[in-house]
Amino acid sequence: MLEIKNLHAEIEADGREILRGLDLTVKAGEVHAIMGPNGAGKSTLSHVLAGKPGYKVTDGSATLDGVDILDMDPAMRAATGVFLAFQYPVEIPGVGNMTFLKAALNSQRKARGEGEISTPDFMRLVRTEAGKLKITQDMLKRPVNVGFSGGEKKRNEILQMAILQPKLCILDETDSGLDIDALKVVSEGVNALRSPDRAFVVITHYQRLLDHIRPDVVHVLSKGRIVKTGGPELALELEAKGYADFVDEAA
Amino acid sequence: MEILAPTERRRTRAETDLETAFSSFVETYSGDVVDRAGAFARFSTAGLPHRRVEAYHFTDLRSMLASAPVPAAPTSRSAGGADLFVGLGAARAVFVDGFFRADLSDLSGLGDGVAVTTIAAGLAANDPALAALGGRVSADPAVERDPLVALASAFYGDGLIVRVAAGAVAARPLEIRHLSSGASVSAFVRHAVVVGEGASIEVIESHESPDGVEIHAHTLTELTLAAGAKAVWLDRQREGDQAARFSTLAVDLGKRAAFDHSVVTLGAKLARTQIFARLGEAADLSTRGATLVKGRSHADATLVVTHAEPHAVSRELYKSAVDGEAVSVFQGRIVVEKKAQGTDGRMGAHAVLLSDRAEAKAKPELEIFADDVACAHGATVAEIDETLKFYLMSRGIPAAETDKLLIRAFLGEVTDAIGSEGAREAIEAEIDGWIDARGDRT
Repeated sequence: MLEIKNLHAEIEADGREILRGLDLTVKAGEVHAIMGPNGAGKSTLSHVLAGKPGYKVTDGSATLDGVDILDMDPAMRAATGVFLAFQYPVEIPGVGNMTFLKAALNSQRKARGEGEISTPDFMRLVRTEAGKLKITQDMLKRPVNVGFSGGEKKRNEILQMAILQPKLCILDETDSGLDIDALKVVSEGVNALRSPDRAFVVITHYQRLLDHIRPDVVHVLSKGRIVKTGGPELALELEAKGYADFVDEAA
Repeated sequence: MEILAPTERRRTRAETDLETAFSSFVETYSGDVVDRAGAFARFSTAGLPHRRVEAYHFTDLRSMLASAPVPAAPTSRSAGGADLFVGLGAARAVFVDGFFRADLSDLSGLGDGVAVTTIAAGLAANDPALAALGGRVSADPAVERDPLVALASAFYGDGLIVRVAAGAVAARPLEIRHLSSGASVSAFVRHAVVVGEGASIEVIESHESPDGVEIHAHTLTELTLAAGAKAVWLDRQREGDQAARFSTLAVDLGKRAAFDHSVVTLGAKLARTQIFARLGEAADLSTRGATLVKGRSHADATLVVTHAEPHAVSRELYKSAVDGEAVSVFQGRIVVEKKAQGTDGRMGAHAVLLSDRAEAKAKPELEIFADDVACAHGATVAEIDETLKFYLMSRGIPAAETDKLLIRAFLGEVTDAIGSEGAREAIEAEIDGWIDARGDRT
């Protein structure tokens, strides 16, 4: 599903190279965890895949089901099936959560040549998915993320994921700032979305999240490259030993 | 010893036009009760204001007005325009080129306590009550000195006189619609609205003209709210792309009077909206503005809010979205006089720039002579926030749509608070239309 080959990317402002020849293949139905020390390039990878401005891809490719996504703007990538659950979801005063969700869903449908969803169908969809994530009516009525706690923001990210039904879900440190109860709700939301035709890339610093979202494959990212790949046991090994061994291996 | 004789300042073409116009205009009104010559003298001594006049520093009329079209005469020509508020069931007074049109108006149903007459009728009858309109506009001398006020006072030929009796509540809103016949003229309208003790009224004012016609549209409105009186006022302006609009509202709030005022500016090549408010004891003023300018338009909102008595509250919030090479100007001054203890004033001016060449200028000021007051002001100028834009786009919303959502959200703080509930939706739709017309630019 996701095929990244020799990806090089730098920060546009200062030309600092962050991703240095990254290769990654994620098949449909799989959950891949990407772990690594601070500064390894984990968040940059998620930003580059989602199309955040401020990065320049200097070499390599990233395709989703064979389609090059790097030339697309972020909206087109989303319509193609890329979804990034942000580490720090932003607050958008003045844009109602429901208005936002509907605009997002209909924009994607339109880009794919599908018709708009009817208002009753949309309301039903939101009510069902919000209920699963313990998102209240009040949160739906408020402007996007405004006045939401850290946990509420992350739940709102998963709600968007559930409604937009992307092919590829990238979770950028979704566990940061979550207490154990919130972590459970978020993880259950993610697990409910696991399916044979959807893939997940779970970026995390800690093994804790992987107790709840069980990965099929674990990668260690260091200095902009994948330096080690293994099964779920690799995450436990990292937790026990720290990153130092793997980072040295790369050097 | 020889000294240099002061040379007469060279008049601009627009000033000469106005001089010429006045000398023939005043003939048609010879012998009326209004001191037009006095008003015109107040204008012509200094002429059109320019950037060295502080109140016009950002809106230099001397350089911006190349000429002045001839004063309008009553016309029977029809006029178009989007009939935005037709569904509201308001009574309606329609003016074309500044003159009341009974055939287009319907002033019925306002209720027993509301009397509406026209200035033209009063002038024709030489009603001495109009003499008062010739001179004092407001207790604030700055109003008296204002050149636009002086011009409107010299040239006005029509307008409405609205009196709401003490305790009366207008049974439906009053829409005052200013249209253009399409002729290139200078139109001068003067309204006087007096709301008696404990009485209330809602006014929806609208200004429209077609694109491509050079008109100068002047409106001078005096609103007096007696003790405990209430007024809700919406002023919506969508003049044509070659029009200049000059609006002045002088409002006097009596003890515990409340005034909820919104101004929405969507058109005109040059627009200057002036609000002079004077607050009595425990009066309550809310004024807010949404300005959307594009092309090479210039829109100026200038407020002077004077807290003259203790314990009054004022809120001013003006927001503008500026596209193309347009300029938006906000000047706001809160004056707290010495006896106005316990004043609570808050003013904000915020602009979002939608293009590299758009400009926004904001000058909020506080002048405080009392010692027990809570006053604050703030001003910001920013571009569309890229972080927010990326977030919305990452969910599949195309760039042009994200801009629309974010501009609408930015102005929402103003439009959501418009006191005329019925008109709010129409205004929001009109703003959406303006944003849509920007096209699919990113």
